[in-house]
Amino acid sequence: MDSAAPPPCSPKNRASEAGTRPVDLLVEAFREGKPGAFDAIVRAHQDRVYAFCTRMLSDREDAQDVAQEVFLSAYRNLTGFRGEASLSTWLLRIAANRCLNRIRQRTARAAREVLPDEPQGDGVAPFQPPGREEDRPDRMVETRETGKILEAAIARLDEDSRLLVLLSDVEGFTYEELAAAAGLPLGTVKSKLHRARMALRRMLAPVV
Amino acid sequence: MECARAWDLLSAYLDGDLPEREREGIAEHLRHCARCAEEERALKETLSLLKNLPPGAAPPGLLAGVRLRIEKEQAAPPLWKKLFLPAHIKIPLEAAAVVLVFLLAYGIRKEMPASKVSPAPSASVERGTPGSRTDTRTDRQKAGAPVKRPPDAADRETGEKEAPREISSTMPGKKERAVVFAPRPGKPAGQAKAELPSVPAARVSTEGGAIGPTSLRDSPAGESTAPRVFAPPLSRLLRPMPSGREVTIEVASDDRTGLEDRIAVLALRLGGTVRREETGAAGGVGAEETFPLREIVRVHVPVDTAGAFLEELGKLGTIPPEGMTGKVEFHAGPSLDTVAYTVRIRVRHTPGSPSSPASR
Repeated sequence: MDSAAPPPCSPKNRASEAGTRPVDLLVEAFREGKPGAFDAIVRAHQDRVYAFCTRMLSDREDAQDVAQEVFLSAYRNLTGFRGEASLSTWLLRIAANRCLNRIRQRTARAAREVLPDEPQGDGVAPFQPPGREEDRPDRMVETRETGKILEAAIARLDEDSRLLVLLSDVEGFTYEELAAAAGLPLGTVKSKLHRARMALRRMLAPVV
Repeated sequence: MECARAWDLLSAYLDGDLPEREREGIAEHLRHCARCAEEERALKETLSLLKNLPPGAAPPGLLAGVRLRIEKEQAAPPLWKKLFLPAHIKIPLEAAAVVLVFLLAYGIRKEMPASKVSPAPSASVERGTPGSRTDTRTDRQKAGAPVKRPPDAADRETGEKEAPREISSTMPGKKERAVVFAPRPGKPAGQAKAELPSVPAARVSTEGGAIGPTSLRDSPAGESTAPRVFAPPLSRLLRPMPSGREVTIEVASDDRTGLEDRIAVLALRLGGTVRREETGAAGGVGAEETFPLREIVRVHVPVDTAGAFLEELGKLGTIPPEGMTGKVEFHAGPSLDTVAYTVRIRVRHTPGSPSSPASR
């Protein structure tokens, strides 16, 4: 292996995919109160935000709801957007927070809905993967639908790992952006991201 | 490099996040370890798959939903805006709250006994009759809290009404007074109940300026004449005062005789009226009769002669600092041009007098 060759997918080296210049123009237009500016911003970013929410939540309705919350929050706070990161990064950070909140709400609701006479084992709720049993990656080997397999594998990660993998390896966040989005120290982000990737790689062993 | 270490660094290696030396070490290890090389290849492919995940397409209604939410939010302002805006509601509400807090603080301050504000040393009783029941006023009582009378049961047993008597303490540098309740000689039994009109005692606090004419404030006994304000409790501010303002006049036992008449004459001379009888159910249910008040004279004097009345009253005896309710700005009388006073007579026993507890 050529050690001098650049790594294929380095978060440190990759720039965010969304072009910042046109988006900045849209933000300026919004701040100036130009009609249609906010609609243009939503149209420019809705696919990416929605896809992220869908992968985080594994539920399309929830994803749509959270994506709308994200843009509503952006509408309220866009005047305070300082442009330190690209608009897409800023939106995805909002989306990440909202998705984690939604997952916590779900968990709390599920805990409340557990009947008291239900057998609880040792008191710890059994792990419930977000995907269906038939969606497990190893069951889908035969179909060879790599995209589906990958989505299912992502869905089986715990939410923190899922967040890091999606932001880093799908959305192209740098380590620093990851640390800011997850609210974790840089070293913790690196080690957690490594563990998440290795878990994903084990789940995808039948296809890769 | 060992495999375990290589595995730990694989992610950083693929991200290009390793220093040159470690990067070369891993590359070297991967050239010789097929298992780790396979792992590196699989992880690289995983990352490649992630990077090339097909972009999702947002549902067509997403933008419309966002617009709807924005319109809803603009139509209905948040709760905090409803509560605190507009200003024409907010400012009067806040002003009213400030006034209310001030009034409450004022009332609580005035209700608080003076001893809690400025604790003073307890008075010591200079002398007392052995075997007789004594009650030394504490600072709090001196400060204006209602003086507790001896219980009725004791009155029934002895058949005597006890009167507060004031004596001086010997505390160095500070003259204090203590009141001793001792049986009144020669008092007929069975009248104790009728002699305890329910007139609340004066209250005193230790700050502010003195009230009343200067001559009344200067104590002839040489007591501390620190300025004080005697203000009524908040409850008084909110209720009418049928008994008017209270004044306690202190006289020597030798001057006690006929004092009620002298006060009455004074009031009449100044254009006032006198009431020395009280109507009440003294003979059973429904039976009303009048009975004379003892040690209390109630007068009504015109507003313009009220100051002169107090000044003249001070000449008949001594009005102790706690003996008068405060200079209050509310009216205390049956009409706007009349002031009602309840003059309470207190006897100061001098050493060696026949009625002195020590001489008995």
